[in-house]
Amino acid sequence: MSGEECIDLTAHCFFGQKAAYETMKQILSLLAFLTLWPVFSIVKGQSFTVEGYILERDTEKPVKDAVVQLENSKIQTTSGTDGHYSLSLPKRALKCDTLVLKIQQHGYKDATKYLILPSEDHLVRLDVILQPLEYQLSIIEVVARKQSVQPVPALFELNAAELEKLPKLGEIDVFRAAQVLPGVGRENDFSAQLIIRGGEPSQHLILVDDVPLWNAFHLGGIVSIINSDIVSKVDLLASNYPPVYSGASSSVLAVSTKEAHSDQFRFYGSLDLLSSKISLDGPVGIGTLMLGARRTYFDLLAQLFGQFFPYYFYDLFGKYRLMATNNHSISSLFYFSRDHFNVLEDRKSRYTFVGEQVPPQWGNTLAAIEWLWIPAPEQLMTVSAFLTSSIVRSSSRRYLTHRPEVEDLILVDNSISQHGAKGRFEWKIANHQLAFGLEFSQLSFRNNWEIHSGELSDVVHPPQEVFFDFAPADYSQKQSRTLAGGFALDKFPISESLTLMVGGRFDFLSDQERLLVNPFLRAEYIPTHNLNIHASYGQYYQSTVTLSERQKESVYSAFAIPFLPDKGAIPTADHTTIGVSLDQLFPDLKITLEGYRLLKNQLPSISIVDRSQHTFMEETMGIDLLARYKRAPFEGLLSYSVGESIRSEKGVRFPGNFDQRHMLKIFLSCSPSDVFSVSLSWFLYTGFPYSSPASVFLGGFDNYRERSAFYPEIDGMLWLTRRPVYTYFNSQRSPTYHRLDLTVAYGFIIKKLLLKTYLTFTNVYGKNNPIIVDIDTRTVPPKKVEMSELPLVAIIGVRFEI
Amino acid sequence: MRFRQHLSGLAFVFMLLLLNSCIEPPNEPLPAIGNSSIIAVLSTGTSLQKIYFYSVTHLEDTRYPDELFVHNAVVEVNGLQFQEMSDSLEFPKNFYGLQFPQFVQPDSTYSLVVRNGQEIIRGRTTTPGHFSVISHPKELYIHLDGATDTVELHWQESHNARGYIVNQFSPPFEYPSGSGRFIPGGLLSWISKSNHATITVDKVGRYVIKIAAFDENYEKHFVLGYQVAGVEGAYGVFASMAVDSIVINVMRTQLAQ
Repeated sequence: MSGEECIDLTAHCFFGQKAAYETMKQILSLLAFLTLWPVFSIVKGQSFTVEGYILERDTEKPVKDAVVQLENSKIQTTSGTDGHYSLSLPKRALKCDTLVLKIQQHGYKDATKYLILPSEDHLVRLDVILQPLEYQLSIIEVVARKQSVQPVPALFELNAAELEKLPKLGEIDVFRAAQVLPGVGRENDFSAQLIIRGGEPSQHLILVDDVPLWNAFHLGGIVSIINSDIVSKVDLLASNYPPVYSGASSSVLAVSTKEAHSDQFRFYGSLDLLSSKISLDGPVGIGTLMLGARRTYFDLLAQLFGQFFPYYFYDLFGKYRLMATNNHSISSLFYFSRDHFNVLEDRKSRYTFVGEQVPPQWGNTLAAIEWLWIPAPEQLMTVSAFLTSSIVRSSSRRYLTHRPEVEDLILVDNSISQHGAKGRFEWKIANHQLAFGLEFSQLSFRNNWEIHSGELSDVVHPPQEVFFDFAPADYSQKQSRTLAGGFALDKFPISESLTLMVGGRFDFLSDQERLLVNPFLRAEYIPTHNLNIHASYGQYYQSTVTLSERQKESVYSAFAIPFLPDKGAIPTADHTTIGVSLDQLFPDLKITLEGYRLLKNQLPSISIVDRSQHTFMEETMGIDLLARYKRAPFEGLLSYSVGESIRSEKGVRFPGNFDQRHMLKIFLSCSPSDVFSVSLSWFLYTGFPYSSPASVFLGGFDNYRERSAFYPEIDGMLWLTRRPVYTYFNSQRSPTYHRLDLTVAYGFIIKKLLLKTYLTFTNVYGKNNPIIVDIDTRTVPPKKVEMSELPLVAIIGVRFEI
Repeated sequence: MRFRQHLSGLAFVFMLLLLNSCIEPPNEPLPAIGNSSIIAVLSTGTSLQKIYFYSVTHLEDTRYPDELFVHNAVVEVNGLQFQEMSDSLEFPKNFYGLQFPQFVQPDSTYSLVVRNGQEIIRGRTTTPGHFSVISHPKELYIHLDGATDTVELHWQESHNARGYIVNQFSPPFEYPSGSGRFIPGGLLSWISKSNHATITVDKVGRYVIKIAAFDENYEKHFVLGYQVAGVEGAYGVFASMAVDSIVINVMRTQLAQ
């Protein structure tokens, strides 16, 4: 078949398949998944669909990520891993025109298909054969594929288009979107922090274009600091991540930012419930530039009405890429964010201030530069330098005007700073794909605070416990580490179907004064193009630790400060996974299944009894299932996880803090046209365990503020209260959580301006989902301290693009 | 054939999932700290030392502390046995007491032993060092000219003290005015980490200021919330204090005739 062909749709051209069998498979695919027939029946007739397979000439192997675009329009789609594509075209195109489809993929000759449209049929089959070009690695291809970043494909990934459709709270958030993936839980509705395969937030490595991000949250964890408009895709390496990365005992979440358009400038933005965003990208000189900014606006709105709203955040992003030659590319990026929380502003009249006042603020700075070079057709080298930091600051000293002996003090100066350089080299030689890397970095922590604030204690009590469990009111500490490390990786075939990846990571940590060596092994068996079986084993270590197990009820858990582990007490982890990916079990349905066992040692904890520090072991096992379905106008995702997390501490075993037996997430989207879509999301989680005391002892009153207000003097000594005695930890569970979200989106095109509005209803049926965070034993009967999750909330937003 | 193979593979996996979901994770009991609690704070400011000894009880138990009091235990501090006592004017009324003036001295170590059947509980505390208020005499007279007045107190630093509790007892006052009914004065209590405090007075009468230097065990249990401080074999605390006090008599300035 030639690359250009005129297709008469009245003939219903099929490619190599019998019509009856195709019909049977289509019916099965619809029955295998929940359908939206009522919606479809309402909206049918608004568009028609062209779908088919893109295959490589001679080998008939599927071509993935090929772009199929309607010429002279923005309507396009990409083919999946099985080569299947589906393009929904608006009915207004059916006017006896000849539509032209362009099919492109790097490494292949472009193809063009002409469609003559006399009929009213809504589903048309069109398969495409692409002719491969002679292999030629180019800078453009490397940049587009992020080849230097990810030698092991992520089991679970999300692209920018999916991020838009997935559940959101106030605005699109990368981490909240990732919560639909299997194995990914969350602390509560108000937190975007991720619990991945039982691993708490501090056990994950979060990267933006390969640069680590610390305390990556605004508003105490509600949204991440990553502006979704700049995100190209999110890769979740839930366990057994390759030795390219290090320092996380659980997982790696790698966020890749977009590349700016090189043909023309584009300007886009959005106004959501939480914030407003604008972004700009396009060619500048011989390179491309992307800029993005985001800010909340409630404080500005409140000012307009003469009111005071104490909080706002903003962030700025910029990225410039220079394609110096066909073999060289240099990119630089920066990121800056700040949160300002003037929580004490409206109580000024009660206080007399001393010295300069700096309201609480926190934020991140990130900067990186990367040089990418292709020295030879089968070689790739990257060299990069980076700086990343996170700060929390506040300075407020004052006293009650009518009681000068009562001082209110909030002095905080915490910072995390990391800078370093990396070099990576990849080389295809014979049947081996080799990758090597070296890394050098300096990590510093500085934490200082004096917090004696009755006002702040009304918000979180005691306020310093947002940093770590049982934190004192006065604290000062400095820690630093120099890391020198690297990795080696070799991927090679054993047979036509079996591939092995062998490698390892070595890191010298100056504070540990030892060299850590961690092996990595992965085997992939691909007997057919739609079946992939893999097994992996790897050893890892936890670079830094936090001590934040108590503050479950607070949204300020995102402020937990990291510590360097004590010498000789660095936590380690063993990961074992086995998985299978199945394409075309049913048409347009891809299923991925992975079983895992994670064994983590020497994780730190603090005893509630005597505050002694000790370590514990945690074993997590489970199975994650992800089913993805895509056939226009429907798109769906079913994610199910079953597992358990068992903690072993001082010889006693009990469920881990984030042991969540079942997680089920169902996402369905129907896009009958390119301007209208309806999405449903349903979540079900087993409740987290909590510790319920079995009995109480009479002890001293441990809340000195309350004591002095209510109790008479008994030589200033004795106030009794009922305090909990725990016989079992984590023996109870919060109620099972479930929630339904609905999103309706509609777009308008006004000349060159594309406007998309959306309306989201969160928790449509208003389920009350309490999380039990503590048991208050001071009363009889004891009272459950609950935190309620989101009620029914309606959120509206608008996005625009020029 | 391939379709059936894939299907049976999936079916097997789903059965594994179901089987896994039926197995509950283990939940083993923690080692017990003890079956009782001790609350004992020795003080240089009193001649009657009190030790409270209670049994641990279940969550739904509504009994008052006195009903949970453990009777007939042998309670000794530095070899001196405390006697079981009851004072109906106190709450709680039951305790083990030792009436011994100057038994508790500053900068001294005390060992507690409690025996109740097979149960043995031990404790240890070291009292903070001696200190006294140095800025003013023990009995101070001031005149109140405006609505409020302040007195800056300073005292010697107490060796081993983790902090100071400042208790300010206000004088009783008549309410309603002229009714002849007096309401007890309020208590203001706060912790000072330094050796000075600002006392604010706003009414005529006798103010009593008690300053108690507390030890590490007191700080751990009462301020920081440790379940166990200075005790082995039970919950609670065995702590100590060194106390000093002054009296501030506030009078209204008489206007010239």
